[in-house]
Amino acid sequence: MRGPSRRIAQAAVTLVGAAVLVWSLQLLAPGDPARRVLVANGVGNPTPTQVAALRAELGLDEPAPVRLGRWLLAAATGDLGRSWRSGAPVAAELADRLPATLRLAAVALGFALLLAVPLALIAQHRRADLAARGLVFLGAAVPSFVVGTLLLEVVVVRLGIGRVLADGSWGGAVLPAVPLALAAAAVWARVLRAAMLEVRARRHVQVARARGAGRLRVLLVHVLPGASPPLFTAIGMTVGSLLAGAAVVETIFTWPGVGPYLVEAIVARDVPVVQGTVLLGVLAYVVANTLADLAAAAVDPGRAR
Amino acid sequence: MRLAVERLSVRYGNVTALREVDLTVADGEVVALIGESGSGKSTLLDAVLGVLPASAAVSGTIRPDRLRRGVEVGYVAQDPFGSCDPVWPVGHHVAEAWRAHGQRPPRGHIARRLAALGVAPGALRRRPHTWSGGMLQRADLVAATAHAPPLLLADEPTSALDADAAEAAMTTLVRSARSVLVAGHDLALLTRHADEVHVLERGRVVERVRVDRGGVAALAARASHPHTRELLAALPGAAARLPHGHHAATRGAPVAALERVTLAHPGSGPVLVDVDLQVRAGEVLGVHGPSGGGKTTLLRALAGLHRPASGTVRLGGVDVWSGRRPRRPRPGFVMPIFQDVAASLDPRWPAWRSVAEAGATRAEVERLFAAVGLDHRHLGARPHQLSGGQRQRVAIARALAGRAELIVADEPTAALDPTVAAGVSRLLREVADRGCAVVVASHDRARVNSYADRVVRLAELGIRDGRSEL
Amino acid sequence: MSRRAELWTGAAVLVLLAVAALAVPLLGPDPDATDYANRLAAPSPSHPLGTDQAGRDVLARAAAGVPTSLGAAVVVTAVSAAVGLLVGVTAAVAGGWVDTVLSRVVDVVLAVPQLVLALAVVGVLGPGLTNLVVAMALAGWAPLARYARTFAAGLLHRPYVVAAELAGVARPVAALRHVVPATAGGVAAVATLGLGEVVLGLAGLSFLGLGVAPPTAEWGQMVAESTTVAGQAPWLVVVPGALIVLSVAGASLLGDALAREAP
Repeated sequence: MRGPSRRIAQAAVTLVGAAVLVWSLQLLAPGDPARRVLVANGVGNPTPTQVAALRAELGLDEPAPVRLGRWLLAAATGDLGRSWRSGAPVAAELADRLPATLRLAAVALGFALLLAVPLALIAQHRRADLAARGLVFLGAAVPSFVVGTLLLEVVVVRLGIGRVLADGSWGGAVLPAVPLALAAAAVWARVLRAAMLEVRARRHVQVARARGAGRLRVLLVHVLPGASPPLFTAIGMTVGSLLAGAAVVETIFTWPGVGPYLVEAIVARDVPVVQGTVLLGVLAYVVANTLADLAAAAVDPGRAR
Repeated sequence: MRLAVERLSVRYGNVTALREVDLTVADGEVVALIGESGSGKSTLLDAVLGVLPASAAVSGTIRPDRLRRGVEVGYVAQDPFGSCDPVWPVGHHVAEAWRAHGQRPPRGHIARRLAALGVAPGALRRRPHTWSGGMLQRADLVAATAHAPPLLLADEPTSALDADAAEAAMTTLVRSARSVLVAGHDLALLTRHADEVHVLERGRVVERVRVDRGGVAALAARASHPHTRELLAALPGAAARLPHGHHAATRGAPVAALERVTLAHPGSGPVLVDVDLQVRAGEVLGVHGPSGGGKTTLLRALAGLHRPASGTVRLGGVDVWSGRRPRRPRPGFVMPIFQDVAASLDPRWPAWRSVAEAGATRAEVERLFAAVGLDHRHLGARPHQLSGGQRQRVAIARALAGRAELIVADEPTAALDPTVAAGVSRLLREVADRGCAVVVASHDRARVNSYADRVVRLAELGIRDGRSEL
Repeated sequence: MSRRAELWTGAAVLVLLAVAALAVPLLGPDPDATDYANRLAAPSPSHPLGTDQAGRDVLARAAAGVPTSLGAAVVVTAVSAAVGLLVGVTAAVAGGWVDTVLSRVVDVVLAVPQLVLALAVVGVLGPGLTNLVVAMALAGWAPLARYARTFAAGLLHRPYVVAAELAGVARPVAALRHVVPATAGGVAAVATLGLGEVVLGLAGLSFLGLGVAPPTAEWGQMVAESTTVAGQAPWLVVVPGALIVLSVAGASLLGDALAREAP
């Protein structure tokens, strides 16, 4: 198999493995899930008959491998089961909330890129490096919920600067995107800075200098493109943590996305919703990483694997 | 253009790359720099070019300095793949010679010049990883001489080319610039094109020889420094037979044997083919050859650490690879001494523990320490508190603790100062005189010759890459 | 900063936090004692860092948050490091099918982003500090196992390990003597570097209400409780935030210094 198709096949295998892991986690849960569902739906002290009936309805009496197989097959066709709380299909509920989260993610990733690349470029100047590294460190160490809370409660509510439209629109995404972007930009700038330092030491950069190329030309034409593969990898990784980040930031800004939906499901231990949402996050992560690898290979095809 | 380098020294931290180098390239002349890899050739070229890394400490003068790179001084880089930006097509790499100065290459110029060097220009749109090293090297030559610079620096400009293409490339190179400073390994080619040869050894110019484009014969006739003579002796076909050791020839019982053994690394071709070798008790057998030639692999095979692709390895009569796992006559039968003195002992352990681990009581360890010229103060020392020579002595004590009948020593003295190396060599000789077989791999012919009973050249042992090196 | 300076600064920051956790309760008020008459009081001599929405002393609560925030993160890191070391060294030393199986398991766990996996585990176990610690450790061992495997595999080819094997020391024994101690050092360094991430992750999940139950003090939880009054009393957000930044800084300085020491 050639490079790209091989990489995609690899990603598919990983995805199936991760799906098995996500499903299997519920086996760790103590107690009878059917009983939990009944309690969650307001049946104070369910009778054994009620529990048995629900067990049969949810298919809990079958052996775990059979249930896992069913779930995998259904998930492959886009059926993630029904919420234990609302009884509605998880896939449909997710589809309602996904556009808002995607919008927020797109704005955040855009901001992060606009921050990270200039920061890494500035850090190539020896005297600016320390300041850039300090900023990057702060960006990585300050929790996004602190940034988000201060932004919302102090800047917007108290000082009246800007406003928040938690309506899931593009314009409303600007403010909630800031804490997500800061965290991502810090990681990316660090990765890009290190990669650029590494590329600058390579022979071909010296050759370009030997041909007479100026500092800026060397930096923009040779160093930055050459240093982009690790940045792609870092971007792919960030997409993975985005679901967790969205859970926090969307909760602060009451953003109508997937994040609050997941948090409510966790609190209520609504297992199908948790599994479905996490599976979606894993899918996004695997896809993003695969794309990042393919992009890195396209930029620098000679890279030894 | 005349280039004058005076008292140039370059240091990286504690490592001195160049020491007080004086060098002149007269106007219109070609000067060749020769020397082993690591002798400082590339550093010298980088210094003249002004592209040394910021970590380099430089002293001395280079005149003229601040040459306009690419216009007043051209540069052909070593390692064609490393010198070409992998992100862009090769055409971009060549055109960079113009674009870096805000110009455009004249229409069709690059293609014409490449074609003259025998490269089809259609490939210019493809990226370097699809090119061969030889093609890239010629493309680099075109870029380096784009503006017909008065001074051209070239670092092994023909390393990836076959003899005919190298001759053509060198001719072009010499013709496209007024003064040329070229570094390389191919003495025959360089001496045919250079007016003068400078020999570098460990960062010093040890000899300057006027050759007037007269070929190897001219160099051989006028060279006097031993290092130059060594470089000449290393030429294929020029090598004189190595004088054999002065000690008595083989006498003891066979301890280890390789029978028609072929050694290979996974994923690459064979390193050594059909080797027959016998090691006897009480002898020091030297294995001489260049670095990367397969000495380490041969020693690992003798120790039963490397499974041969074919053939039989015997240790004390036992066929080592008769099963899936290596079989040896007994634990400690073969013991190793390594070049890497820093890693040959567990950095966390006091010296005595490393020796005791091989099967000696504390009292025995103390006796062994005395036998290898260490005393009780060294028993509790950690490796970092010991000198390189002392660590090698501990390693030898460890081998003795295992009651080794065969010691395989891989460059045991390469990391040591000459006087310390002499001491360790003497000790290995004594160990052999007491009945142990010692196999020493080394690239230092003189050293290994001084204490070995016989020395075999790697090239005599096996055939590499399908062609004889003899 | 020199390696020594980094090492000592990082260690000092973390030790200082631990000392504060022990000392403040002896001097100050009860972190859980409410005083509604004195809500949202600005910093003053009697309440050096002010009071919160229930009139509780913020300094006392910040100190009480050290074991639940930083302490829990240290537990997560230690458990992850121990499991990672065990799995990684076993895979490297055993080789063969054991290595293949363990490496595949690590690959699969790594395919789920750490915090997302932690969310999933809390989702089935239910919220609570213990469950949160279990979840973070379940998600955190895999990268360390991969690191330990690579590290240990490299050590197995070290001359002194080869010499031990030639001298007849059995492979598992040689591994235990020569490979495990050095690998443990490396794993500890990398795990310490990751401690900051764990602090941030734990605080984030606690902020979402998935960690400690009120009124127990925890830095993320403290921010969550005060979001609606953050405009009037920003110190309620800034103090726990600063403590988190301090912990992350200390861990990263210490981890950096340790990682540079590891071979």
